[in-house]
Amino acid sequence: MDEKTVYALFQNARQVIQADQTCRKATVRVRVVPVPEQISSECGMCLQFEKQFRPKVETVLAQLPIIVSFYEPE
Amino acid sequence: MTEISNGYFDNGATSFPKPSAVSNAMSHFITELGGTYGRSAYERVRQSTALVEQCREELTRYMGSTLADHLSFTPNATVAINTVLNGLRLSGRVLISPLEHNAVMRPLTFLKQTGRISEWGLLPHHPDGRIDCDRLSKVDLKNVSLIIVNHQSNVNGVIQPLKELGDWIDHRVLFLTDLSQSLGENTVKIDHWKIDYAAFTGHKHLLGPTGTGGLFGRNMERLRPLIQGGTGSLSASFDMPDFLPDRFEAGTPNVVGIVGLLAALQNRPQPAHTRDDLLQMLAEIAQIPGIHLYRSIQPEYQGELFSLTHDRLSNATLATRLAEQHIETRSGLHCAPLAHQTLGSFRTGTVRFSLSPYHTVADMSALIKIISTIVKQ
Repeated sequence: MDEKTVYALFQNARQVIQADQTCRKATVRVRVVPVPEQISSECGMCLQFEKQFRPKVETVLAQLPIIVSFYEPE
Repeated sequence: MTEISNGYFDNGATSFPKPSAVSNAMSHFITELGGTYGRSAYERVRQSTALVEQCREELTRYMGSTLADHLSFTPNATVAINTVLNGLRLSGRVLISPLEHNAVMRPLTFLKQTGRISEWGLLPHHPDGRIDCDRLSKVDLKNVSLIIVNHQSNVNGVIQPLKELGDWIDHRVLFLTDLSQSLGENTVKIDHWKIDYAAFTGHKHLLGPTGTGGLFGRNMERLRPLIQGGTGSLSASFDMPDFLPDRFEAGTPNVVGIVGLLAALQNRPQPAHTRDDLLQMLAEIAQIPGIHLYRSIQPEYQGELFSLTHDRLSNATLATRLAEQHIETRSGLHCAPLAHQTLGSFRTGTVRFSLSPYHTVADMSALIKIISTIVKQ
């Protein structure tokens, strides 16, 4: 996995879509990708974005009533 | 005989026509988009999943709630009602309106036969089946675990006082309503009316396709899922997720149907008739010799659906004669024997007419003339 990439993990597909749309509205560049098997099998989808955007993603997603966890490959 | 432009009066069974946007959206989905819900992560699936979630959001708003997570899609209202009745740990008595459909009565009877409830009883009501709010204070809620009320009757179109019932019901008693004949036609305020569970269908007055419906639940944590299976989430576990909506959405949802339902929500037609037009039509039909009308005693509680019988013609004969004049209705018991028992039309039933927003005043005038002519023959 790319060390410059961060993954945002969610409980279910609904939350992924909510997060994706919220980020898009805030013009934060994120991608919906499969959850890497090294991380979790909680949900088949997650968001991927560049490490430099993590503060903005965290700020944007804080608006939503969802629990998000972040994973940064070492 | 008089010609009629739109003779389809069976919208209580399923709506027709639908907005053209419904078939366009479904066709586009099947031929261009495709993709499952939430099981993968490529662009096609992202778009399909987003459409399902958009429909969930819009439906929830339409029902007067902000709790979109609490809305689960089901194939129809019957599955939603069964989810509640089988999923709750009920005990004691269940009180119901006297106009319930067999979607409620059959699972309720099964619960009684298997000893999971002691009995079901009727709420106090007027002769047309509308709950009598003035007598509610005398109802003993001791040992009552659930109250079930069909918002709009599928036999006489009576609209029940859900707000008043929500205000009256003890917070220890759960409140389930069946919105099958109501959502899309009547205002619904789930949150304001303190409704715990609401079952709905997409293919009647919401004008969506068959195979769509859902369950809204305020207290979903009290429910056990009716169906277990894959959800695309928590996949390493053999247990169903405890979070919403996944807990009640095992198996691939009807994505193409939900896309059609979304298009229906976004393209609702302006009604081609008014409420006064409806009431005027009912008043005129009531004057036709030999006709017995089944409707709300008080016009303000009348939905866009009513039934009738004739002194001389059987229901089947009347429905057949109407069909010969391109008027499509439903005769019989409408899967609601309890309602017909309440209204005095059991076992023969009635001929039911259910309107849609597409019916014009000209259609209504033609209907009156055709009924008048048929019963004179």
